[in-house]
Amino acid sequence: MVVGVIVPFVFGGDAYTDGLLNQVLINAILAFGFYWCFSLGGQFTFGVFAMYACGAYVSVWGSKHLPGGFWAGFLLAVLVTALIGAATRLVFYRLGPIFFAIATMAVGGLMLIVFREWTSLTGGYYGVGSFPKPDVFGFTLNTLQLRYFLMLGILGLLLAATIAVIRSSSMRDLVFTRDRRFVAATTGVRTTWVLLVAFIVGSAIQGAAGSLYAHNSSYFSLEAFDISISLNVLLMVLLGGVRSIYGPLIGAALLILLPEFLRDYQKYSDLIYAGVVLAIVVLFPDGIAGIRGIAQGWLRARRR
Amino acid sequence: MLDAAKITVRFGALVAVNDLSISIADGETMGLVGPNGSGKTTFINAVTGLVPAAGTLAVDGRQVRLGRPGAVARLGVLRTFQTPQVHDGLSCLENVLVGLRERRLRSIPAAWFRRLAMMKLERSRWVEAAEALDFVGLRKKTHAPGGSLSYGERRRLELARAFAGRPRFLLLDEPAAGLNHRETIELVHLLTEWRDAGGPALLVVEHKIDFLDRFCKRMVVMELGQKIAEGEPAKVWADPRVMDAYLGTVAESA
Repeated sequence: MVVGVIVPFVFGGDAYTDGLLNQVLINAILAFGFYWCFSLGGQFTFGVFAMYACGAYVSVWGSKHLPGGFWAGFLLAVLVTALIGAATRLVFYRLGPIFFAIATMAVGGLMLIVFREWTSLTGGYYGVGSFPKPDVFGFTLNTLQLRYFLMLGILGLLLAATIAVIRSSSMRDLVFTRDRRFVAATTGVRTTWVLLVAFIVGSAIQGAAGSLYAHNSSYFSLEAFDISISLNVLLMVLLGGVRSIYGPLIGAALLILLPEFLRDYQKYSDLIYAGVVLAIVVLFPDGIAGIRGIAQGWLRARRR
Repeated sequence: MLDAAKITVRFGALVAVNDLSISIADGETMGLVGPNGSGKTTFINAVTGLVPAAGTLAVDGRQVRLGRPGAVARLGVLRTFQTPQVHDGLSCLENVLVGLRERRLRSIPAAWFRRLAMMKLERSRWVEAAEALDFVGLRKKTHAPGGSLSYGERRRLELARAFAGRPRFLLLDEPAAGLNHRETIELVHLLTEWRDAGGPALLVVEHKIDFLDRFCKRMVVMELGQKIAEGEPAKVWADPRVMDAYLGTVAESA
């Protein structure tokens, strides 16, 4: 967190770097939504890109038409994506994990078709613009750097809220249900409800990320959203560490910044990128965040 | 009173449990025996909602829909499994806490909005779970992960989880399987102690006949999904059909 506050002062300044840092945070929040669905709730979803798009469009509509500007749009985006997530989960709750993942992809595809055709809302491939910038207590966040701190604050809140859940009575029911659903059910845990809540929270966070993406740009179009977002997010969570709440943030930073560092070696950048990703996946099954655990185990083994 | 009437379970063309009715009175200990594949475990799975089944189920006169594992568990019908089902990553205490009867303030929203009340309740939950571990003799393993336990300890941990759920009816699926003689005797002591302290009615699926004879007042014998005999152990064993179906196979395999 402290590092997050310092970073923009050290490296920031030019619009390009600031934009990049904001991208890191937006993607970290998006990946964090996936983390809730997958790592905490045990439900793989391919629909991340659609929730992201939905959050963006709903938020833009809300900020234009509701009193309260950005925050009204933001809250509406969270609410709508939460509802869509709940509906998806409830409709397909009997499906096994793989079929559920495919169902989320299908629902996501359908949502994208809706956004393409509903041009009065989304502008289709022409895009939407001229919506309000985020504001805090009436103070408009006009620069990328100011919006960086807003997003950092939201990410911090999300992390705190997640730690609160992990260190609570609800966590063991969630873990037990995620890994041994039917055993949990026979002990009386309300398994459907437990998994549903995790999925709803995850969907809502993805919607929030979409809203932040929208209001961080002054214009965006349908081209910003396709299924590769889901794959990227999956990669972020895997690289950062599926088991750690810092995994999504680490993964997002890595995936957004790594190609930038490789810019000078353009010829080999793809190769190095693929090599690094492969090395992390093979060497550190728990991602970057898992390295600490590996190092601790290694030190303990040496001391003996 | 646990009343399972006309329970039928079909797997495709195979009828695993055929029109089986069993009722267990409060505080009673009942044995369920039969050769391998006669449908004993499937019957327990049907009652606890893990397999789709036809028939009716009533707990103290209240009808429960079959196929809903949570609903029947919350009415006080708990079970153990043939292979003990323990979460390897959670500690023994957490494994027990999941099964605790106290279900208030355990949701994710409660962790945010009613945190103080949740933490206060958590203390009494820990005490209760620790008591359950004490009861099965796993006190020393309180913070050890479930994955570090031996087979016999896993059985006891599962029993502790059931104990913490304060069931009215407990269905034990081969509780002595894989236990040595000493462990089996310990288990009998444990269950007897629990029963005498006002514990749940038990339905015990078991192959160890001396274990059942020592323990059960009444017995149901199954063969090919059907009930072929019911009554006191001594009478049941004297039944020619039972001798043919059950003891015959035991003698062969021995």
